[in-house]
Amino acid sequence: MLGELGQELLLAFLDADQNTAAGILVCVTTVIIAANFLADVLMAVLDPRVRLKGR
Amino acid sequence: MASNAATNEAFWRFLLGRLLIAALTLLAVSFMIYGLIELMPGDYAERELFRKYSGTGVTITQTEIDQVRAQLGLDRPFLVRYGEWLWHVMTRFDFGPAFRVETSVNALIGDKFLYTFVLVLGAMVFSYLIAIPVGIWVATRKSGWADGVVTLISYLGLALPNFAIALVLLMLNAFVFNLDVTGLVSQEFRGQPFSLAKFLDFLGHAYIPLLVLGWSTTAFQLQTMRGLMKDEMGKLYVTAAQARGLSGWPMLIKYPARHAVMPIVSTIGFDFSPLTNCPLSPRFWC
Amino acid sequence: MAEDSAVLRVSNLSISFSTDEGLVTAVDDLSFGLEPGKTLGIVGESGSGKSVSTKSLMQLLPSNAAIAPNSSILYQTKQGKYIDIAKLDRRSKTLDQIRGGEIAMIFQEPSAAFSPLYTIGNQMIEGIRLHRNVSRAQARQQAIDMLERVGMTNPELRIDQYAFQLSGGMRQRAMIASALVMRPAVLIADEPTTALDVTIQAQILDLLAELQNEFGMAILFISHDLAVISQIADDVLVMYLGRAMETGPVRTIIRDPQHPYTQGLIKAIPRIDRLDQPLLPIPGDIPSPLERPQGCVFHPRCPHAPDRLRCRTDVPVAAETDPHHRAACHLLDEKVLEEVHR
Repeated sequence: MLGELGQELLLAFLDADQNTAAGILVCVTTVIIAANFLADVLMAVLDPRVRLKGR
Repeated sequence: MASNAATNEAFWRFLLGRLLIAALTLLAVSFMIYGLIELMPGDYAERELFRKYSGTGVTITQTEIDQVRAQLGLDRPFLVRYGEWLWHVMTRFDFGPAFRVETSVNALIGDKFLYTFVLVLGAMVFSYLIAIPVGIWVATRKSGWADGVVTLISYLGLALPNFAIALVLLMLNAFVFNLDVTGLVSQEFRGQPFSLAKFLDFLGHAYIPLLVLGWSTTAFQLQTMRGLMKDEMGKLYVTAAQARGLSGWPMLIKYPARHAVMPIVSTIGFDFSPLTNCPLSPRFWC
Repeated sequence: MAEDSAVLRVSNLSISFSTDEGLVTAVDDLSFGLEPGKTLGIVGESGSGKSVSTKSLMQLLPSNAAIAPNSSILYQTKQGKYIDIAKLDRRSKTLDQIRGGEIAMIFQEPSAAFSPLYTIGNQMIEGIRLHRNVSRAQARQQAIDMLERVGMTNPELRIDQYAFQLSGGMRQRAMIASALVMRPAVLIADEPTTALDVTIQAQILDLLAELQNEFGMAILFISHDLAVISQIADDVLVMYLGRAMETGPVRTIIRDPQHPYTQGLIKAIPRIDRLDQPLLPIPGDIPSPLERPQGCVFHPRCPHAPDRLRCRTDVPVAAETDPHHRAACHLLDEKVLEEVHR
């Protein structure tokens, strides 16, 4: 399945299928942004210096 | 308490700022993809007709192209199409029609995205579950075999290409254990709509990609954790905690491990990069 | 002898580190006793083994360090039991009970000795609850009381703060509170004032003396600064390259030093009444621990050694010059001989 999602993305690019390409990448980007956000929140929980001094 | 209120306010401001940045990033990503494809010569209408008639000797006329274009709405200006797409995404969570397969993008991505996400997430959780405790343990060993064995396994994971590991595992499963290895879901679920049974079946098949994805990540995290842990063990607050009478695993977890785990936690975001990289790798297990 | 009254009696303590370059001797045949309610100052340059020897009293040495089998660290517990700490297993429960509960330690850098991830209170309460069967709330109250006792303003507020939110002096006060809250019989103070301003340094020394009066614990005070030691200690142990050079009551050592190394240390103290005179540092550097001098370890830097072969070949034995005052130097034998001849 890993391959299939990538394959769809590749084919979407080759076929100039804007909806599909943008859709896949928006989904992937959302996950990565969410993960980074999670990392920041976890860091604030783990390290009082982040919480108290700001970043 | 006053300081609590201040902390809360700072937290909400932080959250709001992050959401704003996230929204802007997503907007930029989608606009760039739309724009880049727009800049490429030709559009989908031309490609569809080319595919349809290539090799048949039929001459494609401009009217035909225009007809398909009008049919798909591609005759409208770029900004109108992008705006409409964006509006539908934001209001209805609808990514619009996927031209090539004549379904919606939502249906096309749907469970494929879910599987990918679960695999990457699974590999990540798997690698943390192994790397962190083993890293702590190895760092507290004086020397010798434990370190050697763990380092050897780590370097194997880092050095062997993922596809090689995947092939070996597939072979083992197919020829030694006689298992069905041709897909992430069993034959009877292929092409079926998403269901809980299908998802459970997928989890049963997922361990090969999990292992392949997870091995090198685990090896990397483990070596990082081990190094950080060794570093932290020499810190004065560890000696001070021991001088208070704290020892063993409670001491290790409360002080050096919590310090050592922070650089790993702060890079959780990077662990999802396989999501962007791996989808483009060849389909070995699909 | 004082043997019976000592709360801690260290005999023939030798410690070596196994490193990539070979076995390094950090402490060599060190013996001393610590009387209850008294302060023993250990003085020496960095690398003299003073910190290593005190860390060994709680078995806090790194894993590549080894205490020689003939060493003994005899500790008399609050219940009157004798325990040889040198023979305890690193993982023994007894060791955990002694650490913090019987012998506590304060460090040179309180900012590094408190983890920045937990509040001062969290780390104090952790210590209290390891040694006393009290509830979290009781432990918290005990911690607040102790913080107040060491002169922290607003202890109820400070207890929930992190070490990095306090000033250097306040941090050291918190460190002292976290050590003394368990009412240890022995307090090891490893250069507790070195990182502080001179005025704060004096405050902390006063506080330690005051708390000693109140709680009656013995203090083992380590410093490279003989001036600081002379302010707080009853007895002094002068160390060089892991060996005891001279030991005795602080007044005798300062006024009538017998060992050339101690004499050198005293001459090297800057004095406000002799600003016009140049400082007299001890010539040379402390040698690498990998190249331990033969004979007397101090001979390469000793002004008296060049004309004495013995200093280069024989290890001097500590001799009593006055009651309780001992020094390990060949010159002392000569003095004794001179007196006999007369």
